[in-house]
Amino acid sequence: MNRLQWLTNPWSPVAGLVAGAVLGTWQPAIGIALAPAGETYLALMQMCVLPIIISAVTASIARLMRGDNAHALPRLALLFLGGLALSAIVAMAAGLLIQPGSGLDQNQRVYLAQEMLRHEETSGGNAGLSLWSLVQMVIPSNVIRAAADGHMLALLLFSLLLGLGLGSLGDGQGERAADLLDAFYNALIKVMGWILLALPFGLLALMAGQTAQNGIDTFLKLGRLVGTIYGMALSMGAVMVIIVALRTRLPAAQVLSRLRTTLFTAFGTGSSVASLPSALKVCESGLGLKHQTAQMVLPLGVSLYPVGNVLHVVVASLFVLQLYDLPMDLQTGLVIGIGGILVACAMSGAPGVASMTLLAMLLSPFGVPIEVAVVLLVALDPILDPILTSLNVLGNITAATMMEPASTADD
Amino acid sequence: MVEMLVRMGRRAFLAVLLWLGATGAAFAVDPVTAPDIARILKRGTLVVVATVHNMPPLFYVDSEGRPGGIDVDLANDIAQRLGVKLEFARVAESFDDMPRLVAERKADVAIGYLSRTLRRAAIVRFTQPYVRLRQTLMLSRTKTAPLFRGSERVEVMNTPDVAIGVEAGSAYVDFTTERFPKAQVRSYPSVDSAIDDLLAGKLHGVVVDEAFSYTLNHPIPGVPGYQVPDDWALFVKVLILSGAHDPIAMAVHRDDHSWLSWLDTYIADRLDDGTLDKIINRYLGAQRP
Repeated sequence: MNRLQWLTNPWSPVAGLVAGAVLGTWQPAIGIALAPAGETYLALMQMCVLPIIISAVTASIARLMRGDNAHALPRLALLFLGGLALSAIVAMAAGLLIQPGSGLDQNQRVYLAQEMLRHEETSGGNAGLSLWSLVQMVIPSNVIRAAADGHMLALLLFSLLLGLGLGSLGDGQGERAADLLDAFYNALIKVMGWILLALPFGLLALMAGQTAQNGIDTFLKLGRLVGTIYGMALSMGAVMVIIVALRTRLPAAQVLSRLRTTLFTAFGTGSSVASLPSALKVCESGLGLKHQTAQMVLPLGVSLYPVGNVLHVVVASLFVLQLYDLPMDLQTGLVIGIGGILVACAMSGAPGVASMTLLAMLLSPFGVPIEVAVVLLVALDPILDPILTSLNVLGNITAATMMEPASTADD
Repeated sequence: MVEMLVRMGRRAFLAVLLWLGATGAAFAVDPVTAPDIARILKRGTLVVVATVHNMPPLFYVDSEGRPGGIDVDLANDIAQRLGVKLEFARVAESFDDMPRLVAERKADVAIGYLSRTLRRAAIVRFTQPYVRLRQTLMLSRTKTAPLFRGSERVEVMNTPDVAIGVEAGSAYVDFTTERFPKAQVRSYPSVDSAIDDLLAGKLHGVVVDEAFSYTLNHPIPGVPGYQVPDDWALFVKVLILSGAHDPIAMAVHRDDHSWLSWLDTYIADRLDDGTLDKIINRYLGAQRP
């Protein structure tokens, strides 16, 4: 194994990322040729995550119910809600202060208009979804199909209920089941460890493909919007690192260095799900959190605590409001904040148009042309996804450190 | 916007000579030739009525004076097959003018972006449609957002609070009042002026045909187009009205029975051999259903 030691060096993924970015920019043809390899690697990473999430959430909730820690669940809900609300407020304050959507020059407006045309000409008619069809995505009639369709919120609900059920069983049945799930979980984490050996190469291929395919056109055209989001993400990230440092009593530089591999995985893959195993590992071994805490908070947080998505949705909504000179009042602000949180959760937990329909139902009464916000989210996604995913993952880890019982944090 | 419309020949019959037909008539004028067709062959010129306005992509004259468009290509082909010269009489001020001029025998046929409607069918005889354009709604994004709420069900537009613009004297007056009977349907002298009001936030929508909206999106190089700001798509959304077709047909005088069936045969044959599709795809993109 010694010969492969360099693969697990924390700097190797970074080297892969940088090499990929350089390769994709310098030789776009090679970058495009490497893209399928990167996607295959991403698929391999995601393959194991679904069962990891189910076993982790179910087992940790079951254990929670058995132990004296049953109050942890409401506490976690409060923590998630508070964190998301805080992100929404901060994002809104920044969006109102910087006004990324006001005073765009003609070039930028024409660019946006062309994006709209391109998007709408290729998309079919949209019949619109009702509120109930969204609820049905969270409460599926068939949990296997929900898993196949990647409806994470439905899976989380199922795992949560299963965990509660197991936790309330008597005669040690619950423990045995939780042990079994733990075995699955540990085995899959091991498998992920093997897969992650190839991470530097995977990141290289992913990054090369991305930089080759996405020009910096959007970045240049919508610089102020992209800059606002990047700036916000970086400053929120800095605050989170400080919180983690305070909670774990480690120097901030040490925290950053331990989180390095996880954050660069998130940056390179653009997938919170794919980064989950790495985040679990770093919480347990790097930051010294309890197995139980990490196992409960992180998988739930992938869908229910998407801080980066909240930032994106809120700032993009404000951008559209400012673009059309629509009035901004308290009611609009509340709807954007609350709607942003719901949409952000739906975005990470239920793929497809569902989340956008939710956004439309909330914002269109104010005269906000929601399709513009949707196109904006889609067009900006390739540029913003790396940093926002990193923020999601960091936020999630921060929440895990906050959930760590005070006794552990103190000793 | 009016300045953008190429106005050639107002009231006078200023014909634009477009094409010198193939040498020698393809048809000899025979004693048994139907009199309505013989009339064209003897004259040696096919006179086609068209509007004075540029109507890309069906009918236009580009910046170098070359005519083009679906209608021009078709008229050229018809004249060539008849073995006669082609003359466009660009005299119609509105679409409704075209059937009137044909009925007054000022032209042999109208091939000019003309929608087949019952009202016009009482004046002239229509061929089978050579293209079925889909009707499209151009919507003000901000004004209709509260109505649509993320869906694209156009039925929500059928309320008295909604104002929809159409071009006066066009088939869209009829189409729109039929589809949205409760909405306020406002007539404008041209689609351009309706679009102006749409961009100014005075209308919820304007009903046009897909050729118009397609050309806004894909201007033909060198052809003066409809004048809209470059960022119009930020304010206006284009929605194809499902199930609403606008059949574009040629029109002839009510007495020209043989001429009508000749044109019907021509259209049927060109549909069969794919010529029509080729012409239409050239101007309207290949992704039509």
